[in-house]
Parts: sequence; C-alpha cells; structure tokens
Amino acid sequence: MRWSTSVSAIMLIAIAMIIAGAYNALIKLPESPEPILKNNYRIVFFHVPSAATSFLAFTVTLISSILYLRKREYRWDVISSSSAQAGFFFITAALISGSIWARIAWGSYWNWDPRETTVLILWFAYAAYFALRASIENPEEKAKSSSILAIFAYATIPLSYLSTFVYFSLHPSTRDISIGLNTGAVLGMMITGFILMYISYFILDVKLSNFELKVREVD
Amino acid sequence: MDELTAVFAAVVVITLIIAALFFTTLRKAMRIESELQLK
Repeated sequence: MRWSTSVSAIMLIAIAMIIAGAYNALIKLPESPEPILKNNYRIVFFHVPSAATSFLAFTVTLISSILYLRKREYRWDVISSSSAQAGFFFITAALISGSIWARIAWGSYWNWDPRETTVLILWFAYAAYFALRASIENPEEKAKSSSILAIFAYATIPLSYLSTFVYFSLHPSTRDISIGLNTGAVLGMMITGFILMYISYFILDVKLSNFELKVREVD
Repeated sequence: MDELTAVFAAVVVITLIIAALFFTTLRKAMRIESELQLK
C-alpha cells in the first residue's frame, strides 16, 4: 500500500472517531449531577486527549533527538522536529481548554496552580526549541543544538505530570478520578482519535520534509 | 439550536478544517514526490 493511501486512511479513521466521540461527549452523555460541573465537565473529552497526545509526541521527539545525537543521521532530526510541531499544537490546545475549565471550576482563567505553571514552563521550553531551530542556519549545528535542547525540555513532561500530586494543586490527579464505563469509552475513543490524527500528520510532515530535502539536493 | 449542539457543530467544523489542511498538504507532498521521480 502506498504511504499516501495509508496516511489518508489513518486520518479518515481519526476524523470519524473524533466526530463520533464528540457526538457522544456533547450530546449523548448525561450532564453531571454536580451543580458546578453540569455540562462543563464535557471539556475533559477534549482536554485530556490533547494533553495525552502532546506527551506522546514529545516522547517521540526525545527518542529521535537521542538517536540523532548517537547516529548523526539527518532523518532523526526530521522526525524530532515534526513530532515536536504536532506536540506543540496539542499542548497549546490543552492549555486553552484547561484555562476555560479553570474559569468555570476555579473562577479564573489562570490560577498559578502547580499544573498550570509546569505546563506553561513546558510550553515555553518547546517554544524555545522552535526559536533555536529558526535562529541557526547550518543544518548540522541546528540538528545538534535542538536535539540537546529537546532532551532538556523533556524534563518538563514528568514535572507537569507529577505536579498534580502536590497537596495544594487544584488540578485533579489520576488517582483522584474514577469514571464510569460509558464516560471511559468515550474518553478512550477521543484519545485514540487524537493519537491517530497525530500519527497521520506526523508521517505526512516527515515525508514532506524528506521530499523537500531531496529537491534541494537535486537542484 | 441549543448550546451543546452549537459546540458540537463547532467541533465538526474545526475537525473538517484540520482535515482539509491535511489533505491539501498531502497533495503538495504527492506532487513533489512525482516531480522527484521524473527527475
């Protein structure tokens, strides 16, 4: 099967899963009995998949950055930056949806909660990654420096994950949450849809970057 | 249209915009690939 057919199929499955998941999350599932939550809890079906997908994308960036530094093969740098771009898109979506949730649940868009603060540090760490890449012209130097930065930036992922276990965090940690079967199934569907969307975009971006590199070599 | 239906419609529109951008980029990649094969 051609690569273009495969990524198209993955993207179409992702779209179907996200639309079906959103229909269940927004229309089918009943509202929460908690007076503050009511319909507002539904934002979790977009917030959690965005955050989970960004963590996966940044993990791929970490692994490919380490592989670049070990092997000095340019393809690992392409994989690293493509995955970081997707991760940055998803973590931005998680930050925005989290702020909307914070306004509803905690009364303000920004509360300097440990989770909010550590995710903001994460966001700036990867923004610095792109700024660094944009500022270096030499491809080898660019790949080497950004790979080193990507390894350090990844430290913000466990930091943000563990931040909810701090006693004064407003953000619920994974051990505090228990969800029903239907809610869990919809959340699982949304997470799978987001991850498939990431995979299809990631493969396409890596292919496109490789083709553009080959065009420059031919010219 | 109630509020939740409007949010669902917005989600569908945003998803379709992302899909349209994806398939536009895919076409560009396929065009470059076929140009490379011709060279």
